[in-house]
Amino acid sequence: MLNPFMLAGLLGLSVPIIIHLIQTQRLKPQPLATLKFLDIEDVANAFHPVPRDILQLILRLILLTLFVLLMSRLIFSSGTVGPRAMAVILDHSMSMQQKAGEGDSLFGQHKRQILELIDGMNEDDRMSLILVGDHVTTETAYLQDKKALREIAEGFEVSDSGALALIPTIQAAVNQLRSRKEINSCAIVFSDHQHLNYANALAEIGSNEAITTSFRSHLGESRVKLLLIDESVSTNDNLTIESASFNPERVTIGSSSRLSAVIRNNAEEEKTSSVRFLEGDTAGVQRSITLQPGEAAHMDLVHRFESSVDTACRIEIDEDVLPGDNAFHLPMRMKDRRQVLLVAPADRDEEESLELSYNGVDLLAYALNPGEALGLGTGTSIHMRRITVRALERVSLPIYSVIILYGVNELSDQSVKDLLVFVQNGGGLFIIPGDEVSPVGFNDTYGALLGGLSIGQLKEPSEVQRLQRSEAQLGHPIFVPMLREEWGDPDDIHFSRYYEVQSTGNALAALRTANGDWLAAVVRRDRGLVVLQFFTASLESSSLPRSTLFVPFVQQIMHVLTREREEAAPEVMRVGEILRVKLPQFRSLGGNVDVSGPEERKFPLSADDESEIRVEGIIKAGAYQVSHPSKKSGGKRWVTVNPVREESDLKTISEENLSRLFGESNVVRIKFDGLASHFASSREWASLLAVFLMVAFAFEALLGAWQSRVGAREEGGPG
Amino acid sequence: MPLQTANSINLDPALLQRLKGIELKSRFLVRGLYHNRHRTSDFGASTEFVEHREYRRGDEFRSIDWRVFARTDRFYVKVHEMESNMRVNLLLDTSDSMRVPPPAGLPSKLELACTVAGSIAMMVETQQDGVGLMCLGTGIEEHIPPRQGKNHLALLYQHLSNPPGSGGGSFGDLALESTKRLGSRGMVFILTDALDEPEQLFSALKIMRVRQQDVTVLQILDRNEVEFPFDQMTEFRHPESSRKVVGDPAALRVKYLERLHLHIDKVEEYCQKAQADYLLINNGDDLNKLLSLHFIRRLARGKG
Repeated sequence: MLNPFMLAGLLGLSVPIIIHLIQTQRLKPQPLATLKFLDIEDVANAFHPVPRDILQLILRLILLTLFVLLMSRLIFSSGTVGPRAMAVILDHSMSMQQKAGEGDSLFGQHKRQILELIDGMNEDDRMSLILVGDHVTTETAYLQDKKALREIAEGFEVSDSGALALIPTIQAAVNQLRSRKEINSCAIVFSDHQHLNYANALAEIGSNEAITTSFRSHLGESRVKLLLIDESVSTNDNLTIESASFNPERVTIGSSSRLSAVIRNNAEEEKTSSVRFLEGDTAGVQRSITLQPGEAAHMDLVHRFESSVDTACRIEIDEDVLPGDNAFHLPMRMKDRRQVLLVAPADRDEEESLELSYNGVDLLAYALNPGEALGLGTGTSIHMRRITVRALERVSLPIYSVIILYGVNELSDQSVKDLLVFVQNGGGLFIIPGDEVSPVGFNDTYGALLGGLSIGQLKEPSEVQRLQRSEAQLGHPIFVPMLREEWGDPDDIHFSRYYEVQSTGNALAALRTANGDWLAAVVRRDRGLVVLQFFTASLESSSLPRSTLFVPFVQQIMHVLTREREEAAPEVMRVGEILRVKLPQFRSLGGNVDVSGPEERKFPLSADDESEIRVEGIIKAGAYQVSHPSKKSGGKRWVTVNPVREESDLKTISEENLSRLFGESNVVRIKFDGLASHFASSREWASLLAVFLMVAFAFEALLGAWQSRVGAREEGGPG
Repeated sequence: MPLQTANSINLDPALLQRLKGIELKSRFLVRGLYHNRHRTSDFGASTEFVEHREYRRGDEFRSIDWRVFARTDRFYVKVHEMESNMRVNLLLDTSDSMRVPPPAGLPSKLELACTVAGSIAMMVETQQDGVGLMCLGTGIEEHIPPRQGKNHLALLYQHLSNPPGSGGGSFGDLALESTKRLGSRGMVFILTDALDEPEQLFSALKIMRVRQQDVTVLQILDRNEVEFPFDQMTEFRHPESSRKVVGDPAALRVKYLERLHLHIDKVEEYCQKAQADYLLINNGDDLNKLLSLHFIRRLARGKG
């Protein structure tokens, strides 16, 4: 009997009898002298207990009895295993990758056992397959179709995620099984039963025991069995790469970066392993490490990157019991050379040009890339191109990081618009006014770019001005290193001619003279910056171009103006995390971005500016290449996904903690071979009782119909 | 459940007033001991001349019609009708079936019967006839021969206020037996519910008719019996036997009423055959109207 408490329903049998007795007692005797006119046959129509009424009462009592017995679910012994409802929960967390002998993983072994279980299903068995990690990845209904179940189970794959959802899934499955009618209702959990998987639930017992107590009592009172299949190898012999990072995170071609990795020995004995670095599939530096039990060590590996394209790198250690945590993936994004466009007027005569060239543009070009200027190689990572003002309209600006307008006093409207878009999208603009500039003309030309900042008349103080050394007077810290004498003595520099500030707008002073006049200002326009120099390009205006501070001065401007475009965190994440990846190269393309690696996923570009994706739900570790179907060439990026950290500790849950979680009733921790003995060989009387019930219903209905017919005939009377 | 009746008789002055002006006369010749208004089968000294008859020895001299003698010289005597008083017997069914508790506010069948009997007795006494009472329960429980006078009327009322009798014998048999005590040529009022098998009652009626009794059957029923107004499951019990029936009145009503009316019709039919008057009264009827109307009709029928 599966629901013995339902027998209480038999008390309901007394209801019609009690009603009958009460009704009899409640009848008021009525003396009637004309009683003889009440014929005995007429009385049969009334409540007087005539045989057919008694028969009907008995039939109804039988109906009630059968219904109660049906509800109480009578069972009888049978030679074969009774109907089974099995919720098969398979843990596919990273720890399930641990080796279970003969080169097979524990996950593979469990998967094979599940297939065996499916093949052994009887006709009236039902099974629900649940694949669970940090989330429930797959969950089916209770199916009888072995072929469908087999196809689903064969598609199961292990992940690099945790098993946060294991306990909630077990609880949900048990609660669901409580309402199943099958005799053998059980939740079969295939897992390594790693202690950490149950840690949250164990912690919950301390904070709110009512939840777990409630589940324990539900499980204990129900007939649902919780069968924990435990085939895990009792070993903790595992080395783990816990984390790794590059420093610097981005390098230019030919530069080196130091990879720092944290490696921990989870084994109970000293372990030695080789640590290898791989750039893509190319092996790099390799070192050996010996760790004491429980010890963690940092290891640095330096690698020089000689390819201009981004690569996915990884660091590996020797294979051990748990292969999943033996590699850590990192992307290396190569820095582009800063492309600088120098715009200078060419409509000068040769002499002036030479003078200007000697004094101004060439010094500036030298400061931007000294090696290139001297024909000695790249020197810095800045590549400069010089054009005239007239050619500016024909140049594609977005490829440049910084545009320098050197002595350009007039610009076409189209050029101004292009420059404004360039700055608003993160580009940097450095404006150096020429001599003999009309302030009105200059302000008209650059008004749209400078956000309210305008210059006044050229000022020639009676005494040359030195730099204001007080940082408190400055609104932008771009030249603070210079004031702190990091590049040399700033007192060597003097300024004799510079433009006054007519209005500041939203500009910030970056450099001042000792008497407080502005020498440089920084203006933010959306995502980009504009730096305006108030002293002219002429050597008479300032001694700065001829000083040793000029190169760091220019490099600092280049660095600040290009920083907005280069600052981006490396795209490294762990399984289960969410990572936002900025992809300006895919801006305005729309649609989905392909993320391909161990998994093939698609993520939509965000609706805001369509240059960002939100990478989430990836459960397999590895290097993923990000590409857009509309942009076949170029623009590819790497996102690396690493396993969750907690899964590396292979310590399994103790029996004591298991009983704290699930109680001791209806819970067993067994090997798969012992599973069959936990299914009862009995069947229900349900169908037989249902047939009896139907027959009794039919008889009752026939009797009722017969009574109605007899009643109608009698009421019609002989006349 | 013991059946009880009130220890009094309820006579409505209005009813008595209405009955006071109505003469109660037998449809047949009566025989009484005292001189009164009712025609008898004998000849006597009334004012109503019948015939002349030759004088026979023993005739009173004063009855000789001397005028005829003067013309014919023969003795003829004048024969006049004789008028005497009338003996009225009230046969009252006092069995338990008459004592069934009535609906609220109504008299029981026996109380109603006693009221009717008392009213008739008052009518009879008013016209100076003799009235007697016979109570029939299990047997003949009480027999008061017809007498005249206020004292006798008081005696009758005393008995009618608490009529003796219980149980339930066959009223027909008892009525048959009572005919031996009723004599002949008088009036008999039978007050009963007539629910027994009617054959014996009819036999009694026949004998009474043979004995020149003017019989009136007053069948008195309870309104519950006539209308069967019950609407809930009820346990019906016969007052004279232990028989009981539990039933739904709604399911029983049609056939019950059908059978009851058949029975009533049968009683009425037999009364007509036996030249007995028949009146059906139930305790819900307007007795004043019904009873006075019955006696007026009867009087009119007699004159016609």
